[in-house]
Amino acid sequence: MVLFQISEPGETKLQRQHHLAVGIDLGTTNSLVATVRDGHAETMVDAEGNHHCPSVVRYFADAPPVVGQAAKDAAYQDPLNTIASAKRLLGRGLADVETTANKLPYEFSKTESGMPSISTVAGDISPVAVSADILKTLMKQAEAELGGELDGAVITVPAYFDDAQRQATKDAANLAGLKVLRLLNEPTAAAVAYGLDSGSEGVHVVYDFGGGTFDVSILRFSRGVFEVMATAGDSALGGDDVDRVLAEWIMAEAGLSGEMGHSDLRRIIGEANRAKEALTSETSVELSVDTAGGVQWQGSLSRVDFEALIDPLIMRTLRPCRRALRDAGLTADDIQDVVMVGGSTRIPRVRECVGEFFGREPMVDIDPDKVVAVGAAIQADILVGNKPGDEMLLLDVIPLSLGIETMGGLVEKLVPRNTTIPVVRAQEFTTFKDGQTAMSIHVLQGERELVADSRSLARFELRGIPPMNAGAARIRVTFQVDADGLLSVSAQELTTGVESSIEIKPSYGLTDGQVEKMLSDSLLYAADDVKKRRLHEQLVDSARLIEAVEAALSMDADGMLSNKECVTIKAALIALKDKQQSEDIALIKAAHDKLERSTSDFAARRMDIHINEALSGKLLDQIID
Amino acid sequence: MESLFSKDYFQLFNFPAVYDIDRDVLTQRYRDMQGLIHPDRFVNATEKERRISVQLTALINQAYNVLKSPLGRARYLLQLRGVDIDDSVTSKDITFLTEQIELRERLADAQHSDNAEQALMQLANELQKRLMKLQLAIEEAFEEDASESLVKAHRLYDEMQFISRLNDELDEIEDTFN
Repeated sequence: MVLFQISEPGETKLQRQHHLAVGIDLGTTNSLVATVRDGHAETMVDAEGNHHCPSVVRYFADAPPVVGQAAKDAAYQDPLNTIASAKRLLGRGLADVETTANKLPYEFSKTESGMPSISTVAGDISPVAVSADILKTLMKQAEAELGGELDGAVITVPAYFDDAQRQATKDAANLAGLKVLRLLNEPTAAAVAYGLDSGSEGVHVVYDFGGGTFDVSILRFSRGVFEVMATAGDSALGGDDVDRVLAEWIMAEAGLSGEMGHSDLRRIIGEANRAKEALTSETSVELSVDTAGGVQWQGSLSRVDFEALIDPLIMRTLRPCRRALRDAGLTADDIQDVVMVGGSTRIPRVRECVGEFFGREPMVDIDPDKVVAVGAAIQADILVGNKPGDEMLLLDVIPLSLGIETMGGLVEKLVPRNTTIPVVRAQEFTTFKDGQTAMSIHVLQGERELVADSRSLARFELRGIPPMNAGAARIRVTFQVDADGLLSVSAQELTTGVESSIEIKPSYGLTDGQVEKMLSDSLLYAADDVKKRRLHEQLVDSARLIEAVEAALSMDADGMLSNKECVTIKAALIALKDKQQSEDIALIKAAHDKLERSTSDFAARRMDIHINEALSGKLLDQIID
Repeated sequence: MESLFSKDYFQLFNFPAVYDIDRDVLTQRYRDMQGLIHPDRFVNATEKERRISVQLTALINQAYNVLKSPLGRARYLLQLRGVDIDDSVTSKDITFLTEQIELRERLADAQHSDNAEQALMQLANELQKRLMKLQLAIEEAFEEDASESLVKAHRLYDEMQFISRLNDELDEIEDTFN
């Protein structure tokens, strides 16, 4: 029963408009942005016609930062203010990066949260802020080319990124003003790019050796479903290490000690990088060093010697391959093909070793540097709703086990690695003192048994436990990992039903307050810009909600809603549409929340009924089959 | 209409609550359900629908993991039939206890033998065969209706659990050889 019709004059109800969405490969060395146009996914170029944007940001004392090639070119002159490879530091504590940091030419400073910050002329810059500046550049480039503001983006992360690293990536997107449709694992994205081309069913291995990380994933593609069976890797191993090993060799040959200026170190790493690239096609390469301290050296390196230098690094990538196979319950014989991703797979020796390990020639058809962005763009196009009826689905897993600290500094695993996400696990705790009203819980990630060897994700306090005798309280703590691989925690005391308040202190992440502060700090640059973006985000969110509610009403208002409920929802709908014109974020947000609340029961009812219907339909089909 | 959240794992996948279920059908139904309820299908839905989708998908994932694992399925079925499983209580079956000690010693011997890798692989094969046999036995026990059969199934489950754990330990040791 329709009480009154809601539609704008001239507007067809439920008209589907094309949404602007992109896939972003936020890489250690280079970043790329891709989109689907006319049904075809392709990487986009910047004003100079480049597909790659070097993941390098140069900071200035009194001007906005410069991102990309121009920044990379300045790395030699201005090493301290030019940040490269920030992805390696994302979501890491200062202690974690100390080994890496010693080899990076930056000045680090410690922050309250234990996160590393890099001292520049523009002040202390966090790796999250550096990543946000790169994302912002790509976003603007895409918006200029597509001619409108983006509705959302899929951002790729190494499969082996832990919760803190994923959260940091999402924080960076938030800071850049980008709506994240999904954080997608890089190898999964690569498989999507390949899988849709060949449409091949079977088990695929994605070997992803990038600039800063190594990942291997085993995926099964069957009837439109990509299922990640296992993933393993090393989030601190990549092409940068090849450069570093080579640079160390050059330094040893040239008789240089580790004590040298930042710009000399840069130059030698640059020389190492050049040698590496030359050796993919040449059998030997000439090298030369000319330092500020007056050391001059010339020499040559053969491909055979180069391979001997980097073999230990390649071997380190095969160990995770073995583990992933075992976790998936497979042997190399079960693998249909091996997809190569990441710039480091251009090294002939890498292809040779991987081919040997899996017993087949690896696939290199799609440019290993573009394949991840292309897959992300395809997924973004589906998620944003441009391809209704597309059945492709990705089922991903959690890469590292989640656990909590127990007595004696041990970790009790709650969610084992390679469990399909989303996942919810509940664990009961009790008090050990009479009248105890608070309790502290430490969440960890990793495969090791000792807390000291694991990555600390968060510590939180459960407060508001009703005072009872020791052991009488039963507190159920629920850990939920969503489809992005991000953790959230809630808790309830079971005997009284009291919800405990939880205050999560991320060990190496940004708190919501810190993100807000960074956002307001960036106001210094472009106050209008940020405000406009926030308004745009709110309008997009609300338009989405209006579309969803209208679709739901036209489908199910009859039969599922009482007159009273129907009137309430429609009134809230009209109110939100009205406020959408106001340009006042607070007003729109309030009307938005009111509409959400008024449809909450309706939404739950619809989900239950439709899913039950759909499932019985599906199952009937199978019985008839 | 009954909410999906109140169904047991077997009901969720439309199976009768028995041990012997068709793995392929289970996997197919799991994928079909994922296709309907996964959060990626609700990116443009309301907040509430998105939340339900995450919880429901987590439930389906959990149910699928339990049912596809021979050990998990046995444990879940015992619990459904009212058996209280307490992992902290050790078996009182002397024969089984003696065997546990023997198997542990064999694992230690294999680990320290001259040809450790081969010895471990041999033991792994043996454990696998043993698990297959136990699965057939527990399937039979679950089919019978008598209460003694449930006691028997419980005992077989304990045995399966021990062998599985030993197998996991063996895997970890094998890892150190790689």
